Amino acid sequence: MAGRKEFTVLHKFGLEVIGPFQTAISKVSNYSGSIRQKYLDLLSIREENEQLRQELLQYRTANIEYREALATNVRLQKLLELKESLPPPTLTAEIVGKDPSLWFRTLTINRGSSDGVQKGMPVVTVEGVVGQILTSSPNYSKVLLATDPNSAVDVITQKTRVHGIVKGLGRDAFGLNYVLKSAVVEKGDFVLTSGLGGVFPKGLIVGSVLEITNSRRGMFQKIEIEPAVDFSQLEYLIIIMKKDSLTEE
Amino acid sequence: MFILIFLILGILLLVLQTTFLQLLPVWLGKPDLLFLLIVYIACQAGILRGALVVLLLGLLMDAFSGVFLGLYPVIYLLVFAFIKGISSQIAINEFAYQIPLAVISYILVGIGMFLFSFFLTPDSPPQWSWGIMLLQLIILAVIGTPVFGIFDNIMSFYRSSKASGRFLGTKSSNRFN
Repeated sequence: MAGRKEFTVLHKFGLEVIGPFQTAISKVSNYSGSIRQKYLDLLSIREENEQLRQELLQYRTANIEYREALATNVRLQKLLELKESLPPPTLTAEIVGKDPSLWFRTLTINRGSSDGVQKGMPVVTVEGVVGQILTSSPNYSKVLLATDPNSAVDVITQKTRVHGIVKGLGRDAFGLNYVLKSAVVEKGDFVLTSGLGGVFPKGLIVGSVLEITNSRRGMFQKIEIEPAVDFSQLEYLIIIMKKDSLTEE
Repeated sequence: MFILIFLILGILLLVLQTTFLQLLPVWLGKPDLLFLLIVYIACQAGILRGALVVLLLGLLMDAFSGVFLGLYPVIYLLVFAFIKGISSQIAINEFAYQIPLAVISYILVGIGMFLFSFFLTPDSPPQWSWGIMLLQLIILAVIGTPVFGIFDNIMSFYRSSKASGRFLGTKSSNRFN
């Protein structure tokens, strides 16, 4: 190919003058390009991060649900075991409401007279005695807790076989009444239903002896019982379906 | 309509008290919203309508709480009569009076509950705890203002609706509207 191949002075001058600008601009554009790329990467990371957070939340929720299902399963399994050990028939109930007052201790459960629930039927849980049915409507019943001062359960101590009546103290404790001073009761001894009242079957755990006070006056000891049941954690209950309750009027 | 509105409100508060508020930790006490409603009705409503709502709420409370049927209607009506008696002496429509009145009435309810339970079952006397009572009184005093504010809004809504004849398509008695 014919023609000049070498730069003229003007070309060289132009190249030398414009070259640095080109270098600078290309550096700036490269830099901005890399920043843009980083920004785009950051955006995608943010999206990915958000997605991962969502997934984590879903897994956490699923984990909580799984744990709750597992805990419910364990509770229901224990209830089933207890139900099988109790004299038939029994009925499982769920608590739907609690007494809002300071003066009484009752619960509302989702079983009523249409399920065969009647006044006076004993209510228990895996840990022990809860109370008895106070009133029923077709689909709901009110349970008088054993911690209510109006509740009374005939009991016997496990080791020394001393009889007494457990009454609620209006808080999370019972009083063991009518135990003579001559009777031997040990601290920590378990207190079980005696079966004598005709309401509760024999051998259900009520609590354990917490404190024994012997005052000079009176015939009886003052004994405080720690309930076996944690009344603040109740969820499911078992009603022992007795046909003829002694508490019927 | 007044009876229906405040009866529904009472039922909602009762449901709230027997379920959701039971989940609160023990040291936070049991906020007695229904009792505040009783006090509010006694302060704001007329004798007949107010007494009827209070009686119905007392009967409802009997179904969900307590051992002796009829105790809550009697206690609530006594509170109603007490507040009505006071209202004839002072202007208790103001919040400033309603909260101390609620606190005093709650103490009287406590004493009433204790005495009734004591005389009905002398062999199983109820337990009186000043600590728990004090906690309840503090809770009532703290939540009193916002709760009475909500009741006031509902009452204003009822009055404005009544004035415009919105309920049940009833028209205002003013023929020139």
